[in-house]
Amino acid sequence: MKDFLEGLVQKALDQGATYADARRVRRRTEEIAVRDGRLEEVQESETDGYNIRVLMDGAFGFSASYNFDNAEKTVNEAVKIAKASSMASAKKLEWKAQAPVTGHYEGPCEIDPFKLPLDKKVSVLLEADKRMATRPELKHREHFLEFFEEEKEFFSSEGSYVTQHYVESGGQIQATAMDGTQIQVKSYPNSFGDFRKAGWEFIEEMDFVGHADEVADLAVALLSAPDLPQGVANLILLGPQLSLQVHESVGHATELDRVMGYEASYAGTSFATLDKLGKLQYGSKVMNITSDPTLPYGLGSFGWDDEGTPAHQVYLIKEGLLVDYLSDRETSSQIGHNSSGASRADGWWSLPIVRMTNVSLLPGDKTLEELMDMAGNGYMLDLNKNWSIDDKRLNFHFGAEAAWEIKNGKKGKLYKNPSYWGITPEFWNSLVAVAGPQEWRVWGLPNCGKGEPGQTMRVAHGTSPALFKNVKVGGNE
Amino acid sequence: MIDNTLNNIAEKLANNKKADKTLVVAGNQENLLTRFAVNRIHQHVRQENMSVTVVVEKNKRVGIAATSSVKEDRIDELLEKALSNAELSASESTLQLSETGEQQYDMKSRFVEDLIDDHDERARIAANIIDKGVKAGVDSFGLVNAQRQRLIIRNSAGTSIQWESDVGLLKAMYMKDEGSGYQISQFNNPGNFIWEQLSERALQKCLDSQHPEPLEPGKYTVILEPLAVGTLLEEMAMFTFNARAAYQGHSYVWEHRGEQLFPKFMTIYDWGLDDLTALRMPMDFEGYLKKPVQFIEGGVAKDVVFDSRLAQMLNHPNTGHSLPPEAYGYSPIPLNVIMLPGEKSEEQLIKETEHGVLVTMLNYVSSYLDPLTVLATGITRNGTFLIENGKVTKAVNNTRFLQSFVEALQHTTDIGSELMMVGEEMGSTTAPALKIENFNFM
Repeated sequence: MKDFLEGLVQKALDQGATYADARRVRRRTEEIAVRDGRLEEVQESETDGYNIRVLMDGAFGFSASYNFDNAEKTVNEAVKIAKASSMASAKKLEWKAQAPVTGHYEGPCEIDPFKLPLDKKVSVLLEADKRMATRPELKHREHFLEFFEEEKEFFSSEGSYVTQHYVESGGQIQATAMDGTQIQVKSYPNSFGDFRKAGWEFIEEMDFVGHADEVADLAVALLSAPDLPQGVANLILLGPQLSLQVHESVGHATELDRVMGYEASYAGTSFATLDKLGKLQYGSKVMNITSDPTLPYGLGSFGWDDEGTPAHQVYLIKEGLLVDYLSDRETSSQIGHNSSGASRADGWWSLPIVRMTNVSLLPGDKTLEELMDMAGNGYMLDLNKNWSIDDKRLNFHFGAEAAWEIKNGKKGKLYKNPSYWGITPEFWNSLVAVAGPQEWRVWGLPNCGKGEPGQTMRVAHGTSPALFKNVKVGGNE
Repeated sequence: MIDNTLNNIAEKLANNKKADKTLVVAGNQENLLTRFAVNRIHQHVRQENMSVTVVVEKNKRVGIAATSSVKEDRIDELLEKALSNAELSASESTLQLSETGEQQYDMKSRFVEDLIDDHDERARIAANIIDKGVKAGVDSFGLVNAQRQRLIIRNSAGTSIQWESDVGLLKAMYMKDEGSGYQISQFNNPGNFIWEQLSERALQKCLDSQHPEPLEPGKYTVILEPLAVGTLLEEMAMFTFNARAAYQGHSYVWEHRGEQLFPKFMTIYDWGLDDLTALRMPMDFEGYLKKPVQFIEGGVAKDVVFDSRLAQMLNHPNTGHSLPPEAYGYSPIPLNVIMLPGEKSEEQLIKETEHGVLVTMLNYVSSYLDPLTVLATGITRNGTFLIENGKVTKAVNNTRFLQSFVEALQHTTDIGSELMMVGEEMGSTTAPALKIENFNFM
């Protein structure tokens, strides 16, 4: 396939392109869904295609196709599009050269899930469902597994050629309780499922069957739990909820294309503007956030991003200070930085744009018990239920599936419908402490939406429980 | 017409002898999108995609497989995969095949077709919108999008449908200092391709929204413009107007069907062939012909949309609203939601408002807090204004709301006369402005 990609790039150069790159992506997915005791769906899909990105007259053109027999048309369209783009681009794009790279990245996978018999995979969900099914209060039970395999090749006119292959595995179990006036949902291990660059061993590690009773009991218990009272309270966010907090209020806010207005007409911009770089105290001194695609297992892990930049760790927030952005070659060069290696596309059909990789809150040195002790009185929230944030990533409101009271440093009674809200830098500056490496783990998020045409990216966030002081909280009542 | 290769693949798969029943959904799409930001085209893409999905029933078990390859060996493999997936699926699950016969629909418009093929023309439209902003001293953002879709649905019961259509989307946004203005519209002919009108409105909103002041939390009379109402309707479509929500026990309309719970002047429905909808589609992805479905008619809760599976589960006629096989877990969903307009212009609604808030757009709305009442939170965006004594007097900050959308519809006191095709996230949504009492800002 290298010859094919090289041919695409050469055709573009022959027509006057000053830079061109081409990608081919093959993907295979398997989805298994169990609903209310029935294996409702087994779906397999595969997709294979390629694209070319062409820089001409200071503007890019992009064309993607499934049709490998129509490569000439695909290149010609990209060239024509680039020329058309330059008509409405008074300011020409400056493209900084990058050293060529070659090599292969292989993701971790001990047990290939695609090679396992289907009934072995299905039986995990059916057995977990059977455990839950004894409770009449549960109106619905829904569980899924998803397996994902991707092979990628990238070739550029600068001489880069890299290949990557990885498998990702994930899933979820979920119980929904109803009593005629309310619905309460409880999920495990996260409300969108959890995913890793890993094989079947990750499904075994999550142990759905072993957690089924606990999830079902909690869903039922939430029906009779009180609504979280409105007020201001100390808050411990457990890893899953904190991962979404990082995603929405730090990850997106530090995407340099958003900062520069590239996403203004859709997802929005960012309050973390260029004039704040190196000056904004984004959070307290215990807040350290990195983008790190070199982590093992993360959905945002890779060898090279989708324009050939090698994976490397970048601090975005260091001791609370905004120190860098997630960026690609185009945006980083405009502020005199190197790319953070965050140029990613969600498939062969998509243009790479600035995306999160593994954007993580680094661990502190406390235990969860110590955090509860430091909180004294407050609440502890687990998995996300509802999420909303404004177009500048400042004003957020998150709902969780469940909350527990913290009373005199001890875990107390259960509350339903918990929400908390705030303003991003005020909230992160109220961060008091973060739990240590023993409670830190990477959470996979497979559905990050961004861009036009819309792209759904698979990203990850490492978090451990963290304590925030004086946060606005409330329930539905 | 449709590429013969795709047609031959669909025919071959539908006529296989290995499965008891077979449904094939094959399609391709060409999507051209010209996107601009900060006064230049920064992303300009062409995407040519294709997929073939086969759904089989064997011994009353159903399996699904999909590919983007047209190679013969992959297609044979596809059928084998679907059959092996079926072996383990739920027993007694059946594929309800449509018996629609042979149908061909060519719903393309010359206007959108030309825009798909002419990259320079899309760039010129973008340049015109940018130029308007540059002259006014503001930054310009937005997109010009045109896409064509082809779909073949065949099954082993003789259904053979070919459908081709296209649709466009235009966005114009301007930003300056503390303010921004934004407009969006789908289009399918020169008559509803209103870039000048949209960009003029967006520009005026940007200029009017400078120096915003805080809005005190509390309950307000609001006038939601069509774009904001479109978001409200899409949340209602997802949480209430469909049979999956009914099956899951949280469809307010289904639970209260037959009851007069909304104002008598309110009618909301779905109809895939309505002239008021941008992307017209006569059938669903199972090959059933779509039927018009009234959700709220004259203020009475009436019905929700169904696909074949939910129709069987809830013992209700199928309305033809299945999603593609890969999205069965979310199916059915209405994709052509239309709210009938009232008689008053937006100016008249504002004139009749003593104290209220004019809202252009709702941003990042999420309604999982309570699906039963569609309790939603989100934030206003791209133009929020205070109305005092019948006039727009000042810009206010984007403000967070926490509001049940069911109650918002119940508290509606008037409907605007102008309809906009505001769909973006989910099919085609056609909406007027609404005047709503007691809308809750945090």
